[in-house]
Amino acid sequence: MSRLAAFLAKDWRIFASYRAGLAVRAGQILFTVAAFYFIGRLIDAGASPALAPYGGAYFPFVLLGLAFSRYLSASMTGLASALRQEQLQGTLEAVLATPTPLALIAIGNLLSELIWTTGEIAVYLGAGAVLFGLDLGSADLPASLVLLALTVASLSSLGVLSASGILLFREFDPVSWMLGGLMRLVGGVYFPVAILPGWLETMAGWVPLTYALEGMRQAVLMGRPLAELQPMCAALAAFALVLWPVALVVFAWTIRRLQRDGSLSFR
Amino acid sequence: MPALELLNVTKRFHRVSALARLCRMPPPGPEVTALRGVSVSASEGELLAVVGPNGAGKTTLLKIAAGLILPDAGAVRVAGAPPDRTRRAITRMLGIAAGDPPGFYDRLTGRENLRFFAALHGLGRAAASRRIEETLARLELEAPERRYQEYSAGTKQRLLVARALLHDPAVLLLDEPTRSLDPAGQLGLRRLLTGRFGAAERRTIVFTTHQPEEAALADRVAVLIDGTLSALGAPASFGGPAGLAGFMRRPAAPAS
Repeated sequence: MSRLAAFLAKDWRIFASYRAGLAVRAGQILFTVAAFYFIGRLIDAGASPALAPYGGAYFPFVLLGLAFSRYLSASMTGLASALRQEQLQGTLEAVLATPTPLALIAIGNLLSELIWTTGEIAVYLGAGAVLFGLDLGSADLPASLVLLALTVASLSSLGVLSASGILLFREFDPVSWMLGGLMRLVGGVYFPVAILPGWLETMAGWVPLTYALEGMRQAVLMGRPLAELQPMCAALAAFALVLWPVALVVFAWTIRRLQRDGSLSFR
Repeated sequence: MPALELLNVTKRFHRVSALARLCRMPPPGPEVTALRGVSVSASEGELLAVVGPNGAGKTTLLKIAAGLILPDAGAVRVAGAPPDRTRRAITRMLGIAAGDPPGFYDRLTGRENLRFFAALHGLGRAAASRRIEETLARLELEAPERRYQEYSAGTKQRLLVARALLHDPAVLLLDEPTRSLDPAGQLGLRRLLTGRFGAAERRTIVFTTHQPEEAALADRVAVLIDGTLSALGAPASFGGPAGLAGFMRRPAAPAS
């Protein structure tokens, strides 16, 4: 626990040393939320019936998609670039010269990304509610929190896989490049999965992001209780249970590969 | 019982493309043999200097001893433990300062960097604070509250050595420990080296150097040339610093 706390404290100190970055990021989110609010106004008149299960309006639908898919981006690109940076500056090697378990190195580097992302999501939803009339009043809080935990647990495992990819391939990360793009396409970030052609809709069933966004929208926008969201919860739990052990095995294999190549620090 | 043993260690580096790495294809690039069947040991409390020209394999030797690079053949034994001991077990007994890149966080202060690595070594808050203050004082490290990126090269070098000492390791591996230090700093660090950084006769230290007078401080000197251990003995057997200087300038033996 103290090692995890050390990772968090370290990342917080580095993060706090870039105060301007915080304001810039908040500004970026506000512009994104505003842009999608106006896109929503543009298309709401002829909105697809596929939006009806989410209340019929596009802006709340896409805002939830944008906000909670951030966990995917943070895990896949955030952790990957953080570990790549650690490799380049030699701190990955320095950390491996301590008796820190490999799983803890992965989780330690991931944790602050996830906490930071949760803050970003709060800004997304806060801006939507305060500035653009997003109605969060009917949200079922317990269901939302359970789904949030399962979303983080399942999507973050992909981050460890992605980080392994970038440590191994250095200049590009095939996991984020292929899997991340595919998941954003079929996972329902920008449009309901129901409008996809049959074969893509089938593919969406194999993507954890689909269940995460569907569950979060049902809990937050439609106020569905946990009992009605069990299929989504079960799918996310299954993804987490399968993907985490795979991700940790791949990460350990990658580190061993780097030790063999002599490239724990950049060469 | 030796504190550290390298047994017939061989290491080759390949220029491997990402695709070749994934598909386990034969390496397309040239092969560099960093170490060829090197066997060397250091007993408890011994000060062992490793010298040799650039590219002789000195840093690779230290990193293999620390478990940061895996050898292609041969084994490393720390404190007589079986060679298959895990990385975590080895890191409890070993400290390494090999700084290229140095592996510190630019935006953290020197003290914050040390606090982070002390926690990763499993030191509690009080023990970490005590060890950090001890090592800062011992290495005469100035301005620990300044950011790492603001340090001079010499201060960065001292911080590197300080980090390796945090968990009071039985075996210390130092890659050119006096690099970037001014003459006074070099003298001070050499005094610490011969005093085993306060651990009297307990601590084993293996260090690399390009300076004959520094190598002459060691109990024994190992000469690496072109990845091969070409000589090993007391500094006197090389004729002291002057003799060592000649030996260190010796051209690499032709590759077999």
